[in-house]
Amino acid sequence: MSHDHHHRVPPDPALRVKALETALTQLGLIDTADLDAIVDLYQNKVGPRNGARIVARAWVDPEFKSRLLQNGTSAIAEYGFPALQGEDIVVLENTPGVHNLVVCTLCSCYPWPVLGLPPTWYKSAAYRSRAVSEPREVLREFGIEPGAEVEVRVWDSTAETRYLVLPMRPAGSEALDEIALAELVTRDSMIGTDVLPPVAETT
Amino acid sequence: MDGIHDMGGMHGFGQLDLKPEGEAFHEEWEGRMFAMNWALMAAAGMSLDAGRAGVEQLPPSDYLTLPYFGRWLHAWCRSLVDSGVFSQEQMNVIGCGEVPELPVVTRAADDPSMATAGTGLELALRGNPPQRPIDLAPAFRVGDCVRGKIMHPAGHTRIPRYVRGRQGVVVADRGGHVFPDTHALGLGENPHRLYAVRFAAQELWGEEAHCRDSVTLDLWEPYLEPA
Repeated sequence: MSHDHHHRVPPDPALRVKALETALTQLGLIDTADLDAIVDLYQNKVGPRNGARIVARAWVDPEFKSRLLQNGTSAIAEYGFPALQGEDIVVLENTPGVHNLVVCTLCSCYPWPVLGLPPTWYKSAAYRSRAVSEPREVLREFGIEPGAEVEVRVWDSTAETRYLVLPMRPAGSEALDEIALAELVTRDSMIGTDVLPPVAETT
Repeated sequence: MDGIHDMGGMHGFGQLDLKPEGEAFHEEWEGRMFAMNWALMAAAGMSLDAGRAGVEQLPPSDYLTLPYFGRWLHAWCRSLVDSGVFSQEQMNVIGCGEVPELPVVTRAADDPSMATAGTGLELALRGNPPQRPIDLAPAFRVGDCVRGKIMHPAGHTRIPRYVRGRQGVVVADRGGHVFPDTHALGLGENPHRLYAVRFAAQELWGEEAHCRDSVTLDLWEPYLEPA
């Protein structure tokens, strides 16, 4: 009785995923090399450095910034990033009067081509539930406090539109070139959960 | 469906856990499950809407306790039985971390099913654009006041509970987009016009919300009515 098969505790997900991959490969439905390539792509080639390049260029190139805000999808397409989950990108510009914050309350939609895959907190129930109803408390947990005169504008990613926040250029960065500027851009600043500090404080 | 996944505005989930993390995948199996998802989607021509609907159908207690990619695993295990790829008995074996007895399938290079099914990598690189041409004149214009319809659909939908019955303003017309409510069920793309609609925080959460704050959602025309 104690050996009843049905009472076995399900094993580690790693073992079940491995068994599923092996079974699907045997059926010819998937290919191990294809899976390897996808993992490599999102592990090593797609991430927030892509978004940082876009942001830094927008700071130094007004013509690009104008196109980026007009049609984020086509402006970003010039970079040739893998397109999945970035087929319809809208760029949101932070200003002294508007602070944008991005969430997906229904799942965890996120602009993969420019930010990579989302961090665990972005996928958490705490963030998904609270970002829409108490954004200022959420931002406080990230250490930022927009003033009472600022509009906190939350974007819930309910369709296939994906949002990239264009953070404000840090004070004191006037002398930096595009490559140095990109180094200043954090992942969270492009989600809206960070504000970039003056350059003097970061060096 | 009005499930546990529709979390906007819920209480009780506590503070954020902001421990630093570097890697896209924390454990190897997460990367394999992620990649398998796209390879299967490409092979089956399955829609992202159907994939999301599968995750939403997990029992609420499982949804809350499974890790993110664990939800994908559970949803696929169910879907692969429902679609007849595996029998329930075979899936029980996989669920125990073992490989069931299976016929070894080798497909010829000229098998038409191999020619039409792309790889997951191709899907990742080229994406899956949701925009569709639409002939119908827009029911709403930028600046119009609209209301989220009161509805209670048992199937997949992308209008969260927290905007149903609430009034907002159209701030953008995003053109025709595949309609998830039908697409998830395999009932066709049925494109409808998508609008960005802005709701004042106080309209959604009451007067304790900040008077300047707002929430903007992308909502399809059938979710909206004039206000």
